[in-house]
Amino acid sequence: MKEFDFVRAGTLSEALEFLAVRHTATRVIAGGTDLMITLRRNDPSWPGPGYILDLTGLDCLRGISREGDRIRIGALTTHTQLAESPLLKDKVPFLSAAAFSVGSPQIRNRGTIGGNIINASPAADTLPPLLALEARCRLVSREGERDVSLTELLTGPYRTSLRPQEILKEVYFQIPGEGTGFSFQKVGRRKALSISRLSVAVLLSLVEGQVGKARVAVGAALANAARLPEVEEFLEGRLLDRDVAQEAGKLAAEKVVEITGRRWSTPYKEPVLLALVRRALLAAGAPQSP
Amino acid sequence: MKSTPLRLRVNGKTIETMVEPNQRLLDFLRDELRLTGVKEGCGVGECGACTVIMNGQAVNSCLVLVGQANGADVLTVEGLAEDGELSPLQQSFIDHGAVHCGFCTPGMVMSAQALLMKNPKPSRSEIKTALSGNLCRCTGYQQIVAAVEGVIKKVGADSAK
Repeated sequence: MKEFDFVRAGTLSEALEFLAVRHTATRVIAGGTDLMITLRRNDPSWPGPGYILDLTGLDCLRGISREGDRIRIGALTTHTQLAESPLLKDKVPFLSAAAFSVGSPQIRNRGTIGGNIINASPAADTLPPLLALEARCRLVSREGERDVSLTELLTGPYRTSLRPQEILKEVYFQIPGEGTGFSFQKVGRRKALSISRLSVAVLLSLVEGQVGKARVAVGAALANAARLPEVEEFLEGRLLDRDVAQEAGKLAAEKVVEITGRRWSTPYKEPVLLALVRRALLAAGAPQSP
Repeated sequence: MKSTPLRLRVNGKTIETMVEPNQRLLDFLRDELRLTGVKEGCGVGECGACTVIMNGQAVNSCLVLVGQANGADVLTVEGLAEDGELSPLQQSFIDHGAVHCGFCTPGMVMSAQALLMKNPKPSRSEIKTALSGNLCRCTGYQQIVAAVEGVIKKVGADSAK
């Protein structure tokens, strides 16, 4: 285990003040489900942080609330809370489903949505649904707050545009209209405790079978979770049936391979991504899709 | 590295002490408090052998820094028995032959306990979900699920008497 001093923030301003002064030597911890493993890894190229700043005492960063036509989720909200929230299950069920697919009960009880975003694993499960919702993130430092879209925040594998003196405070998005369909699909090596090999989140508004708005985001396919705008454009205005879903899946696989190039995993990922996109579209397009 | 003050409740007892800041809750429970029912399996949150209940929820104590447990209420397998009597859940593990080598048992029991605290009458699939973060390498899962189902039935029958 690396050596460091431990600081538990009592208030948000205390945490921000600490970061303003000591951000270069500090790592922030919330649920710890990723960072604890990094801290224990025997990596001689990293001496470890001088300080660990613990945010888990900041109850002001916890919780899910509805504000008008928006839902806001505090950064310290756990995956268990996301999975069990009646509001999320009602308005954006694919986000609850994605949170429920994370790790195990023990991991979901500790791991937070803020950690999932800022750790920025390409395979992070809450990111595809949040991207499909066009979520925005509120970042806060001693100097003030700024908002960025989740797309702007994610800059690469395990990399974000969060500045070292900043903390992610909350993530928020517009509540999709009535009649919007959702689906989250994930393939892992087993059901529990599996990191996504591929995941897809789809948000669709349909009017008499015709696609109005389509949002398609993939996880574990690219350097970070990302939307596939070409697939969304292809879908919009079309009548959704099996063939269109199949075509969209094909296009998604093509676009991903275009970006990543052909790798050892491509012969597996290409057909699986196609199938997942097709399945997600048909599930989201089905009446009263869960 | 400066040692850091810690105040928490473990198995109903309040503890105030100074700890090394880079200890895990797992290390503190085992090495300082000698609660060796808390097992270390994988050390990366995959196996559940180190499961304890923290503020009512099952957590992997290998993934919690001890300082993060400040103010918490922690329950380990040692806290389940009362006056030397095993809890109904522990007894049910024995009655159903749900203990093989025993290494995963405390973690399994604590995950099941956390479930029952939240949901006294879980379905079979809820039991399986609640135990999905615990590995048993003897692969005696059937008996473990049966033990949890058994205690629900038994407690139900006893309270109906």
